[in-house]
Amino acid sequence: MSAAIALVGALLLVSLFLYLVPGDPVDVMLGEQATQVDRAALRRAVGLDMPWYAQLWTFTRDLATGELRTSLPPFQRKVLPALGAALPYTLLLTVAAMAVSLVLALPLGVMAAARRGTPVDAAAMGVSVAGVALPRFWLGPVLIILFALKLDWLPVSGAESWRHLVLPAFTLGTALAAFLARMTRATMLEALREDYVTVARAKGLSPRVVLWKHAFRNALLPLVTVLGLEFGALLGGAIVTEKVFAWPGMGTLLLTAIEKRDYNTVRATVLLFTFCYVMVNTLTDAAYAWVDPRVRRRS
Amino acid sequence: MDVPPDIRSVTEAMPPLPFRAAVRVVSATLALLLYAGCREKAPPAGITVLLEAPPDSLDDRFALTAHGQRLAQLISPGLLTFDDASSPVPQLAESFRDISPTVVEFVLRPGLTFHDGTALTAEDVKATYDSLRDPALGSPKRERYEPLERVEVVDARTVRFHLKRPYAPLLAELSAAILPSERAGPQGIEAQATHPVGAGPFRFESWPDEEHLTLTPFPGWHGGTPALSRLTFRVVRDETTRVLELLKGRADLVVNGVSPAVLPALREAPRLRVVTKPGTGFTYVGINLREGPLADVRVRQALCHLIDVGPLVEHKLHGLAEPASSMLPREHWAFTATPACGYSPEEAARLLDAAGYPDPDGPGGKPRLTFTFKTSTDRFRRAVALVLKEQLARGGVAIEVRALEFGTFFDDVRRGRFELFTLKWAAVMEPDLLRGAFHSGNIPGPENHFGGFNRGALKDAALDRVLDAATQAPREQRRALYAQAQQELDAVLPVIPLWHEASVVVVSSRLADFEPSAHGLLTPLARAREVMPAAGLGRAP
Amino acid sequence: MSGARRFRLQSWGARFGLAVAFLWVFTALFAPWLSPHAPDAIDLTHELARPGPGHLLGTGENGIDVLTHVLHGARVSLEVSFFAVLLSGVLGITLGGIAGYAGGLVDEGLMRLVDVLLAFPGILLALFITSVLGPSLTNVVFALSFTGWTGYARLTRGQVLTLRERDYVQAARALGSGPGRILVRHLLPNAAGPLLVQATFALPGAIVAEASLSFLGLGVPPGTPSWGALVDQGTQYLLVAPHVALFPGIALAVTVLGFNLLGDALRDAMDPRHQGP
Repeated sequence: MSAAIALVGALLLVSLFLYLVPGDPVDVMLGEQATQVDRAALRRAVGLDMPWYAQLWTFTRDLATGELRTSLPPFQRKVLPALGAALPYTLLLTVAAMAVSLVLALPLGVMAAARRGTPVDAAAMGVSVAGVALPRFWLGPVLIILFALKLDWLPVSGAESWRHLVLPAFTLGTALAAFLARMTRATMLEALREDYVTVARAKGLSPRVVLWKHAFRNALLPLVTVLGLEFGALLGGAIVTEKVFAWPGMGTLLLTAIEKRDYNTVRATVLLFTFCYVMVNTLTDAAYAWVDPRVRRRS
Repeated sequence: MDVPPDIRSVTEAMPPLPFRAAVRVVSATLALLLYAGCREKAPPAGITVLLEAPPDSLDDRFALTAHGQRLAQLISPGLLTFDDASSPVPQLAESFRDISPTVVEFVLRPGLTFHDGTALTAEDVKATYDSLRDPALGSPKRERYEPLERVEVVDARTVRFHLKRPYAPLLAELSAAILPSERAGPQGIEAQATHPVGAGPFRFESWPDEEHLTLTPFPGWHGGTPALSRLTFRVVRDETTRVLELLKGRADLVVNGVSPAVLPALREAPRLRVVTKPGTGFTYVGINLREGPLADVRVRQALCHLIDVGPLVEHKLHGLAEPASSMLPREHWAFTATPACGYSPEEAARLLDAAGYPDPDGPGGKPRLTFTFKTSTDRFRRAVALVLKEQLARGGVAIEVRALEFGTFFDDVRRGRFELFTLKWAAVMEPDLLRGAFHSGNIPGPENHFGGFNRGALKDAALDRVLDAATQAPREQRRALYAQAQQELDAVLPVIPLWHEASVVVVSSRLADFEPSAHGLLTPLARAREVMPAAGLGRAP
Repeated sequence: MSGARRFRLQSWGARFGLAVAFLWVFTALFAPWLSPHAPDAIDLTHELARPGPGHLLGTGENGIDVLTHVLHGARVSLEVSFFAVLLSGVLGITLGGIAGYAGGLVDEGLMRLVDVLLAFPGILLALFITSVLGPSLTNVVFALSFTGWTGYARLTRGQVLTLRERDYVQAARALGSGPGRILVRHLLPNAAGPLLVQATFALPGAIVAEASLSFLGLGVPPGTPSWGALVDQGTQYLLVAPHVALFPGIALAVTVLGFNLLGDALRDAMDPRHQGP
């Protein structure tokens, strides 16, 4: 239910913005170059002469039937195939970024929690936070210069092989890593103070076993939820990362569509973004319930 | 977690899955990445060209962006093309001549064929131009062919264009892509949009997504098979990334897609060559003449005197531009030298005093006048706007620079919501553009859906007459009429000309004999050669 | 429950964070006196000059002095992030408080709005807002606050929900205090701790968000010495003049780092169970 509300809300919001933003596909397309043209006909061709609610209705109907086409005359390509082509790339990128951030964040977070208040703690947190502090549009080119040009290990941009995924995933993942590391640290600190950890310690279990087997497992639970919530931020960050790495995902599609004022593609892409976010959070909730029996029992 | 659980319940109830599974997934991913990392795909054969944006259409009748038109011309050229002086030269045509003021005759080259093997005849030419004028097709360029009355097929290789009245600019429109007649009608739109066919030097191979387009050389091209094995176009939107791809050796050509400030890094690269040529793009400051101080020609002239184009060209463009005095570049056949304003703060001060805008408190301090200055968010344009701001401020004219997202900015410009703005005409070829930009009939308004190009709303009856006459006159008289028009524009100053940007082309050592065009066209690719990389050089294995 | 707890200065993170915060505010306040040049001084003949005697950190686009822009950038980032956090805080706390206290339909409606905004790509919202309103410092603040308030709203609502059944709130209600008074006098002061922590994290978040807007060309107006704008500008010249992006990047990174560590330390201090031995 709330998923449906989020989708409808997002559609209304994006349509409102498209309505407010000056310029329309015909104007932007014609640009500075063309001489006198048949603007009115072009407008009619893409349905810009209809009132906003009618445009919204046509959009919804076409989306539902899969007949949705771009708002760009004359040959209006179907939108869904383009979205279908872009979606896997963005999902691949975000999942890879998430993997990168987990690999970076979990050890740092656990280490910081285990040695709370020491310089190790500060250093671990410092390293992780550096990720959030470096703007992606800067980190991306710097990584390219380093790994693609100087060291010649990886390609610069594009999406032809797995090797092309490494730098964008790293660029996108570092910011989340910072956040995750802090969350890990916080939840670990909490877990380490729980009674069962004290009991485990009292039983004479080695500190490492206590840390990883008892505390860490329980600290993982809240992290799952955080991962879901942060997925939205990751999707948003993908827009900038995709531009830097010429990654053919939804962010690239969206930026191009906004430039061209391709209303239908903008709406559809935003809906897909929202849908992904809602789906991931629904899945996280399910995973959370599955992992934590207490939640399951309660609901 | 408000209920502290006891240890056993947690450890037992916890399925062993999450962490171990996560580790497995992550390590599997890493292993995959590492494995994939060991295999480098061999670089694809052929030449890779980077574009800043995808083409809007490969059907020339619908392509309105520069990229769309340039790519369409590679696949499907027209009867004519334009040389660097913007004079029409035959392309598919062997020759053309005026039979009368209202009839032009074209003779096609012998033995022309389309990519699908069928012969290109006068019938195809007629079908193409009929389709362009057909409302059912809905080409946005339809209105341009309004002066065309009919197309007559004389024989298989001869075609005549009959005009309703003498109309010289039509020649510029006869460069439209010639399509096979069966593709020309409305029923052919989809086929031509997804799998275009023409008689050009390159044949369409695939366009899997917006980001990639592949063409192959066409052996039937009248100029001989292009000496490239394959042509791949890739869209890379970020300028830094384009530069890095060039440096990495993964791209062979970028036409006008790298800003002058970055060129030093490319010039030093051993595998790259930077080639420049005086260009036809025109950068200017647009002025709103509708009301306020800017309606006074003295104020406009004062602004022009305050702008020092020299340092801008030298430092911001690294000399890769020619200061402009007219919309037409110096090399253009219709160009005329005019007195032009030139940098002179003293003259500007005198003009502003005379116009009734004295300096309120001497140099510095309060400005004489304040304007807003709109520009797009393009980094280079913003930087230029700041320099202009500083130059004008020295003469007591304050401007507030507003950088707007392009769609927003362009809408403001079209609807006259500006005082000053800066924009660029991509390529100025047909001088009739002067009529589009400065004729009082072309002021944007509801009647032309704000599509007119006279955005500053210049109303000058004498200029209107000259520009109208120039559309009907034979070429030699046109030159004189456009000279007159340029003199008038220099005096009235509806826009402040800044410069003509050079065509800047970055070519890799794998692409030889690429001679850049002044208009930034891609057609020189038909005459370029692909050089096989020497062993040990070029790309990393 | 007292909102203010003894702040543990012995933590490394806290010390570093405080030092950064102090330095940041100090630089922001005194930037015009610390800077060697005027922020709008243009010198085309010395564009992209390397660091040297005349320009300690070199020059950037149009020959502007990088050191001057980094120092003034502190001021711009302070303005943007402070007002963005303030505006989203006030909005979020008010709406969250109302949602939590009123409950029912009001709560449901507000929380669904939060859902929509959270699911909507944030950068896209900002992009739209600056496209519609035009680029200015104020509009960047609006753009950032448009989604920024949701975090506070959720937090406040949660706090209010748990606190409103407490005895002292019930007592106040029994004594005839109105809902507004109860919110302001009793509920909010007790929710202040977590909100302060949230604000500490939101501050650097706003700084980074402003930088991303600059990359898309929709940040502060041209010529404004913002760190984000400067890093964006420098990224273009990474190969010919790496210093342009480097120094503002360091300033940005150190500030963000400092506030995050400060936030961590504050959170530790606020948590009753985290009291030291």
